[in-house]
Amino acid sequence: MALEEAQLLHDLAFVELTGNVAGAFCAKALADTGARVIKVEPPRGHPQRSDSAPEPGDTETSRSIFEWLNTGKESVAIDTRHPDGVALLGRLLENADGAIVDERTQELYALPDVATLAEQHPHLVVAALSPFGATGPHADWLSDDIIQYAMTCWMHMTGTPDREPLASGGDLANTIPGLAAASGVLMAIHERKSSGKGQVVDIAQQDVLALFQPYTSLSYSYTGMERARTGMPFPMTIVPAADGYLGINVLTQVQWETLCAFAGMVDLLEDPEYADPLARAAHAQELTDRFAAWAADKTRAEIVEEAQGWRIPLGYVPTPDETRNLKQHEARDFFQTVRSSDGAELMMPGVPFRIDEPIRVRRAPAVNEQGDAIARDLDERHGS
Amino acid sequence: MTTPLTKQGPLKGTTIVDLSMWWSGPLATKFFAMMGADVIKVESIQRVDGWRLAVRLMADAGIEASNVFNGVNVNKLGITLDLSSEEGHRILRDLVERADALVENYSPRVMDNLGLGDDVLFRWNPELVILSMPAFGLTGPWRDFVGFAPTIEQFSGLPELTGYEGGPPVLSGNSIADPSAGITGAFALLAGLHAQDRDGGGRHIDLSQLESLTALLGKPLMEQQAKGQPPPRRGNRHAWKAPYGCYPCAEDDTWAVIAVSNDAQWQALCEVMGENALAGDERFRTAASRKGHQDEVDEMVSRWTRERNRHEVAEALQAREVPAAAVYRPSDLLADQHLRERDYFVELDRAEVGRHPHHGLPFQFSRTPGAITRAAPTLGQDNRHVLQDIVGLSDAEIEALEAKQVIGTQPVE
Repeated sequence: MALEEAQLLHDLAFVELTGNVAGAFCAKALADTGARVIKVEPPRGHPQRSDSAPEPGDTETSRSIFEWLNTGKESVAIDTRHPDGVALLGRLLENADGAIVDERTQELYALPDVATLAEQHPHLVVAALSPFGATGPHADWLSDDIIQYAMTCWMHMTGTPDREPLASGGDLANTIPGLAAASGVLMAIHERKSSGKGQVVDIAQQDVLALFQPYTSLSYSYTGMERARTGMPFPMTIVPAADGYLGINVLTQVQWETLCAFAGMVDLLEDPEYADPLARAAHAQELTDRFAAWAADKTRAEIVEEAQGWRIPLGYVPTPDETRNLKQHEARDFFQTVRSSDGAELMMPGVPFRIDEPIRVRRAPAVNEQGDAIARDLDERHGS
Repeated sequence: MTTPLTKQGPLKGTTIVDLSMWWSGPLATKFFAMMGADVIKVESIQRVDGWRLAVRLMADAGIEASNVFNGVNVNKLGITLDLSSEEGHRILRDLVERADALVENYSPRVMDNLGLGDDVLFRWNPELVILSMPAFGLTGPWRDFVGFAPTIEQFSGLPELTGYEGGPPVLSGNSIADPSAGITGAFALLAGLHAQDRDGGGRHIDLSQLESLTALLGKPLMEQQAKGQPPPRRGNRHAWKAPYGCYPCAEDDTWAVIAVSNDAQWQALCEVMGENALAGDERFRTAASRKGHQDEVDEMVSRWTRERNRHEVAEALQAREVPAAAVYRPSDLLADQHLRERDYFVELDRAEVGRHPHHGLPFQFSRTPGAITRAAPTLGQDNRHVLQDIVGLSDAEIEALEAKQVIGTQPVE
């Protein structure tokens, strides 16, 4: 498939004016899918370039994270405290299909509020991300990843019953809402094709992350019973194998029976104590321990592919390093080597969907890399 | 012609044939259904959506009693169609010819086995956008690997990034691979439809549920590369902020999180706790010194939270601009005043289960808002409407299909 066709959104242009990860990830999703995304940076570069790492002062890690979070984007540095900068930004927005803003936009870019921005540019789709949305009693509450995991019931379900609930790793509290916001943007773009008008899309991280909880909330509404964290023992569990962790997820009766045969535990099949899922649930920890003992002297390579050949859902639990090298990812070219503007080679996850061929991600920009070209282009459009 | 669905929202006029089951695909199409698209969910009485049977197996409840099924299939029309029969194909063809998109999340071989490969679907409708979302993608050596959401989560890299300090990797307990793939699927399909609208021509999108979750983990994956080692599992603690974590509250298994991010927030926390002496204590004045004494700090904070209700902790601290929250239990989420005032939960009456709240719109549109107006369909609930008003079959033809079990409203045992 030709490059142009793979770039599904190549006719769309967005201006990114965000401070946090969720907004930047929204813009990344659009850019990786082919849209033109112009990231506006403060004159000395976006703070994400130096403060994305968990530890302050870890510039190397911050740079790597920035390179991933900003693939496919262009950069223009604008001093929006200066009238020329305000005029340039105004023309950028005039020529864009949409803008992506978040709760730090006003502070970072000295911009008016979202309603004013939308009023000044009625053709624009303005995606406004924030922890709790623009309205409601918690709209001004302060947030952080762990606050989001807490206020969506997510962490209530994670961890062991005898200990405190656990927040998830991996920055999902930001990336998931960012991706959902990108869908909101495309819906508003679709609507604009018939109406010719933009609109504001208000996206709350809490609203998006709460979508992950029908199990808990609706189950409570249906039964009056509050689910809680289980520590995830057998049959959905993780046990140590000889060379790392092994995943087990044996949900159906056939899978259970095949697993027992595969692991040489036919005694379990004859014992009525383990006859059905509810009976087995009463022995969950005992079964976890038994399969852990079975796996302890085997490598995952010895187990996983053969078990999968028997149609038993066993799997790797890879470390971040191993994740990149999973055979399936290699065969599908999911992780891609991207050479950064300063020449570093970085392996990063690509786009999780494709049409025939993997979508190639393009490297992140240096500060103001496209600044002159963008200014020239806008001048020509305005005939000056 | 009457329709059981009143639609509004930015996607009004878009039609999707939805063959997907369980949670991932149906969540992708829920995004469309609540924002105005017509989504026709196709099950068969020979093969009903897995949730319907799972709930029967685990809770001895009827096929209409699954809370997840009913939560994720709001605003959709529901029909049954035996896709292994000639009549089933004919009717599906009629629907596909009128549709903009088709969504399926079977394992890779199923659509071909049903005689519904993309060659067939494109022959029926050359302008169709097909979204396939199998667990591991349509290609590659592991394409036929089996596994539901927890398997995908295990393979994704997430568990290694989650866990108590010094402990093993932990599964989220939330089956998050399903909704992660659903949200990715919605975006991929919107992008595909945009390109189709611009350039014409059909497209077949191959979405991997595994890649969908791993793609969301870029930050720790990049951190691992830069440092040569992954971020350590540190429970709820932060790399440099303190106090930061999850603290016990008064009632059994109730907790609050507190995330102090700067010295001013620490001062405010001390004042709220009534510990003014602590605020001036040199040992805790800076983030670095608090981090160095984090066990002591956490113990002092816990002493205060243990006497209090989780919501009071959150309210008192947020009032002083300290990031804090109650760890919501399921009942807390449904009772959240903020979500209620944003009309996030939508109360709907549903056959056989009664009135319940449903998770609603994850984004609010200023000019063309979506709306949830109808509960999930019972099995085959909309057969007559779809076959008569859309496909144009007669009463006699519909009755003949029922007699041959091509359609129906009760599963075939």
